[in-house]
Amino acid sequence: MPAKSKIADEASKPTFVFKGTVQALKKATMKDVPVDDRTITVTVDQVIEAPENLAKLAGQEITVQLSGNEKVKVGQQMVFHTVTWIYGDSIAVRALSQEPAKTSRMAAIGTAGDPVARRDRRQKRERFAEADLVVSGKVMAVRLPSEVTQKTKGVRAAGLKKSPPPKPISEHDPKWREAVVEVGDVHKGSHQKKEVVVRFPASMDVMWHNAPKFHPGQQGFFMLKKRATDEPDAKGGKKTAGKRSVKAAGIKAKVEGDEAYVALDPTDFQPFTEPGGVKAIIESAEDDLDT
Amino acid sequence: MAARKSGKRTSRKQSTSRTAAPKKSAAGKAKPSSKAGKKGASKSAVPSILLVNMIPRSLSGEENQDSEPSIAVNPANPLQIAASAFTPDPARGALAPIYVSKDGGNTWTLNSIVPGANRTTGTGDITLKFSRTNGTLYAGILRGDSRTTRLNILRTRNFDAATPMEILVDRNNVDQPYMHVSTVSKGPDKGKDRVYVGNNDLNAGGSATIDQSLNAAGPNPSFKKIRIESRATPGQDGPPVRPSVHPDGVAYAIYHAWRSFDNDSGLGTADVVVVRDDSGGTNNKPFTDLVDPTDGKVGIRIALNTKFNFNGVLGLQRTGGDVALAVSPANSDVVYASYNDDQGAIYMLHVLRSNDAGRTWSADLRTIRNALNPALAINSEGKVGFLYQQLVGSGAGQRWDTKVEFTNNGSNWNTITLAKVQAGRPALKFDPYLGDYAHLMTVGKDFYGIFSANNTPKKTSFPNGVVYQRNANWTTNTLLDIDNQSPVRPSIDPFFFKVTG
Repeated sequence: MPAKSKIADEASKPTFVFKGTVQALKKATMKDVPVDDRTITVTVDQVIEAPENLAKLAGQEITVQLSGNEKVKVGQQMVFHTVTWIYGDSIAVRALSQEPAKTSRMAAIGTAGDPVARRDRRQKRERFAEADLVVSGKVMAVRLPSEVTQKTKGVRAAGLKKSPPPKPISEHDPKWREAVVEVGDVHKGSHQKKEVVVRFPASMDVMWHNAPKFHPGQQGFFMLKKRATDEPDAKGGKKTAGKRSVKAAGIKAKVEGDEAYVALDPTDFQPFTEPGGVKAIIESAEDDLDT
Repeated sequence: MAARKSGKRTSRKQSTSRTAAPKKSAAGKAKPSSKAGKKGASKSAVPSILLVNMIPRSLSGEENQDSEPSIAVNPANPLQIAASAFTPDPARGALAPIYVSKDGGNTWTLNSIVPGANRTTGTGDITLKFSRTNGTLYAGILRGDSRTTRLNILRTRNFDAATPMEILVDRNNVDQPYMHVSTVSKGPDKGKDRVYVGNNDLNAGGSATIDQSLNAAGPNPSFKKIRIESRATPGQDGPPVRPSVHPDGVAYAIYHAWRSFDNDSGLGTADVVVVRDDSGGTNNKPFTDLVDPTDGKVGIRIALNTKFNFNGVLGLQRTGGDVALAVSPANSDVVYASYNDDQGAIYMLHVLRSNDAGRTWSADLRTIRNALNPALAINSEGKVGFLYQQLVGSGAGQRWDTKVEFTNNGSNWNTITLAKVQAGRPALKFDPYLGDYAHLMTVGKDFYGIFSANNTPKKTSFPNGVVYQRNANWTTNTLLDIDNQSPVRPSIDPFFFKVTG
């Protein structure tokens, strides 16, 4: 997907949803905010969906840049679906949409509950929808990918003391590992074998630290994507095949596994002990099937 | 926030270290304190120091590891300053924030305009620079939403607008893009922005590279890749490639030229190489004006076979190789460079100088034990600034000291300690803990810098003063949430500083 359209897609999703009362028109709560006809100040009455940073804003007066041409009045209570803008002494957000806070509409949105948990649930649902395979199971072993172990054998066979990198490295090297997961149930997608191999980055670099780090004995739900682990995603990049050549220390070998299931997002693994989340999604899907 | 007016006053009072307290003008703006690090200096020589924790008050509850900072001061209007760090969008959206100041660094806001954010860490490696004349802000980033070290070169005409930055370059397998901008001051190209992005382009064996545009402010600017490595490598160079360009167009770059590397241990050797282009990279063989007389190859090797450990650590900060370079705006023949060389367990920083445009270099002018993130800058009068972060002490008393030193001649150095903070706290969330670089630059006579450090509000941690925007209690040494009551755990924050020249 071209970068610009991807940005547009992501930017079209609200990240902070709240019910608020309009306090003033053509005003802002910070001097850094450029004020025009669509700039208003709003008291946050109730945070409906938010990340942790913004979940405690109830009672605060913030700035909202309204969406569209709809007129609002001072004292009017509305639900604002917003994205981020400016953070200073106060905050300013841009509304993707706003709507009157009518009781029936509030019930439809489902405003009760913890706004952070609500956001987490939505993200897990989205991740579930994007996953190629969802299984429940247990991590039986963690190992180096086969091409790494073959390279090491090649270095030893060649009698070399130093091991050059198989490909250029950076401090952002993912340090791929493979978790062998014994499959209990398949909840989405198709998988016939009793085991599934999941690649994950062991690196604690900024680029990878947030991915699940597996260890033997972990049990839970795995939301997996089948994706080439070194697949470029910028324009002009080349898709990798299922196999590739590894040239290192004089060896050349065909290795399996470049196209593996991967777990890269923190939400891609959920322990059985954690309530809600994937478990609730699966149960809800099963309920739908039953009815 | 009207509902919190009284809380705001309390917060301001508590959030300013008393020893550090900048004097407040009637307008409420902080004025730099005047406390030099060296006793006995004459009054006129005492620099004024402003140090500001950049996290805004509305994000008082944040506990991010805001490491690896960079800063850009608009030379045409030094009240405008942009900065960056591994700071996520507070709403966890698709755009990462930059820090914005429009009052010379006294106050800061966040403006999320950088594409390709990771929800928890914002963008990947990022550096910023302004055009010298037209206010355009450029950025080199690794996208946070990519798994392929994906370089974007970006620009915006208005750094405090809500519009996302425009993508000028987009390609994979690149590391540590380091932005430099020079605006042509005379001749037929007068006014054009020349952008130089030092980077480690892992698509080539001699990977030290500069992406260059000779008119980056124009419509659809073209960029070309310039490979600056001329010697054999063990498959690649090291990550840091740092350009520095004189206003007359003479362009330099320094890089960590790997000569051996063991993938298992992470140990390697590197030459530290300086290249130069007298016409700013406009000719057919750019960056080839310095030839090493010893081997006849392009690039003067200012240090040979330095040792590094790509898997090493200093405290909680990873190591691997540091280089820095600055050309004097007063004389393009005068260049200062810094690099690291592991000496056993000691991570040693060195500072050298060339007075003949990089052809010959001095012996060590300065060496600092167990220090990293060197940054150099030279002001309009030829005064040199040298920023670094040094690990001192041991055990529970181990600290990161962030210092900036100044010299007019390379012999006498005046040291200012900006911060001395506990080294083992907070815990590491990811690498890099402080960042693989900090930053220092000049506009006119003044020095502007940025570094990341433990944010515990403790007076003794900031011997030359500090201003906090976020809520804090300086008596209990506790950060406070947006309610100005709930405690917040210490984390790594970016700190801006300005030292008047």
